[in-house]
Amino acid sequence: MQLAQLFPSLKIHHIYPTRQNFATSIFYDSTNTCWYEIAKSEITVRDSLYLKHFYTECTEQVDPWLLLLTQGIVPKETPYSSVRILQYHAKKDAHQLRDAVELFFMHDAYLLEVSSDTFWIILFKDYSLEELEGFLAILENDFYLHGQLFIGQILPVTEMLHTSFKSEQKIFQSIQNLQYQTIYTFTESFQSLLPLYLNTPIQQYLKLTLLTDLNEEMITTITTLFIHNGNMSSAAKELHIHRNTLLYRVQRYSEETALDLRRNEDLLLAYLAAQLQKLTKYS
Amino acid sequence: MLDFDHLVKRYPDGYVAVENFHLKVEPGEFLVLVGPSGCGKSTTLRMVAGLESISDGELRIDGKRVNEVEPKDRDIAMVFQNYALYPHMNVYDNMAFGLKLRKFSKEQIDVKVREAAAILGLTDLLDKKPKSLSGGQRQRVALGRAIVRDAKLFLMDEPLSNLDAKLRVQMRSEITKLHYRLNTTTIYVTHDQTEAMTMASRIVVMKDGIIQQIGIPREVYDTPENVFVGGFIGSPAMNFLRGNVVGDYFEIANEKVRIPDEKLKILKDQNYVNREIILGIRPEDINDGNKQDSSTLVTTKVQVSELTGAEMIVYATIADQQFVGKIHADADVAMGQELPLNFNLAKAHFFDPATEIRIR
Ligand SMILES: Nc1ncnc2c1ncn2[C@@H]1O[C@H](COP(=O)(O)OP(=O)(O)OP(=O)(O)O)[C@@H](O)[C@H]1O
Ligand SMILES: [Mg+2]
Repeated sequence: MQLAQLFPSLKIHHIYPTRQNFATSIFYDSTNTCWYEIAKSEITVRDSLYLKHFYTECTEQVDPWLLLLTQGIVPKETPYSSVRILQYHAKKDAHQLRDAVELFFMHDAYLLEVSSDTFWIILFKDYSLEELEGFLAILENDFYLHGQLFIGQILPVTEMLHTSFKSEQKIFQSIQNLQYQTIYTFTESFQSLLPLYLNTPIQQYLKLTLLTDLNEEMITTITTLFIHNGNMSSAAKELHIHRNTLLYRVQRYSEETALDLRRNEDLLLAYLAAQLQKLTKYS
Repeated sequence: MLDFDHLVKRYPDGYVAVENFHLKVEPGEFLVLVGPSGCGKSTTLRMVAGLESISDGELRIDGKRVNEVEPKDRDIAMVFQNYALYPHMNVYDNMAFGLKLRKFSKEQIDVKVREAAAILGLTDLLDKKPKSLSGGQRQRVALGRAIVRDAKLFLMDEPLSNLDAKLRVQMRSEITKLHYRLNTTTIYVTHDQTEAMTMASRIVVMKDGIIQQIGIPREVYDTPENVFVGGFIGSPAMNFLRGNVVGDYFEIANEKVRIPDEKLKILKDQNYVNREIILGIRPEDINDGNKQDSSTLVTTKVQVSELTGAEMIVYATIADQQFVGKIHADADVAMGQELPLNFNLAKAHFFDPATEIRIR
């Protein structure tokens, strides 16, 4: 048959093919009652016009990415071994999002419209965090779109992908309720949420032993110190206080709790306790 | 040029992020909004941009209400902390993009892009992709994207916070020069008081969504309205010491400093005699200069001292109240030692302990 010569990847199906590969298009031949599956890479714009003239393209199928992300159905062949998923929650009409995604990521991304305000952007290539943050700036600056962006981790494409992605969705939801930001990364959110995942006895222990009702200043101090890996100079700079003032606070804290914030393990504990107090205050 | 008329931002969850923001911005001004994290700076800026709706009050540009005007129709250019750059486009196309959207001709675009590139020193980089640029160069391209627009108003939200300390200082002066050259009205948001002090033609200090003080940098530094502004502007920060007005003196435990006549009169007029007040005094006004006048000399106890080169910063206490002073670099001080220091109250301020407002 001629089609097979034109398109080496051609597969002929005699029942409606339920699972579509990411990289293929499917055409229905009504004279012969069969379906042709052809690799997209082999179809030129011109080919596409011819094929659509003779056959009907089957586009109404469930999106394979959606199947993968919601049910873990991995397509037979996938050119991607790992992906990063961005979740975007639009606060305003986002019909321009598709243009923005194409301009920004070119062929490196696939946009899934999950609902009118929820979008998943699947990235096939790696972009730096700085670039991804720039994407949100582009949305605001050039497209006047307003929303929140959650940047997931790089995940392997396996039948477990939907499970990992579900966790990312949950984390996005929790962090959104906790603190409003326009951009979240997984790692940052995880760090903020960590205290909530401690079991009850540990939470209670931290509250009873370390929380002699820390004031706002001390909470900020501990948090900043933790974010700066215990580096006094850079933490002091961010806090706009002198290094010695910070040292003074650290000493005062140590007198009250016997925790030395210059030690990693002590700082972690103090950080968790401080976050816990902050979180419970809000709820 | 830009009128904030009692603006309020109430978020859907009920949180009031900006309260009663009232201010007129003059043409050509470089207005800096400064304040701690979460005080509503970005929210204010985003209301101007049209990215956040205005809950109450009116915003006017050149006398016209713009509350309901679409962001794209406001003739405003923005620069954010995160650089709005397309990774697959070169510098030229990145700068040209906003103009293409606005349907400028190829020739017009070319002129504007090359002009902006020349101003920003990007001419040799026009065919480079963002990835191959340094952080400072990327920041410049982001600025270039705003400049080419010839917008009526620039909004900048912490544009330097992704740069390292050294570059930040350099870009600070570049933005100032740029403003001098273009003279475009600019609102600049930062949480860094040094940036505010060095760049602003006027500073707006905010806290908890409320304006604390508006003024030129010198005014805000010299005459802070309240304890918050005094402590926020200036580094090392202003010292605050609690004491009592007794006779002509400000007393902390056994130590006392003579209050200058002019200030004493105010305290007397306002009935602060024999009451507790807060003294706000900057580190440079506590020194070891004048050892003759015993009426301003206070005995303090040294905790730590730190040589910065030209001067020495000394951390000391009076009756357990901590403060910072600046003394001569060659002074010989030891930890725990008693040290007489000169308190120059002429430049100090007194604050009400309850309201924390400056007494005047
Ligand atoms: N959409 C929103 N819904 C609810 N609260 C919000 C929303 N956006 C911002 N906030 C809250 O409003 C307050 C002011 O936020 P804003 O971003 O204006 O502060 P900022 O002064 O710019 O702080 P920073 O220096 O951290 O950028 C914060 O407490 C923030 O969490
Ligand atoms: Mg902000």
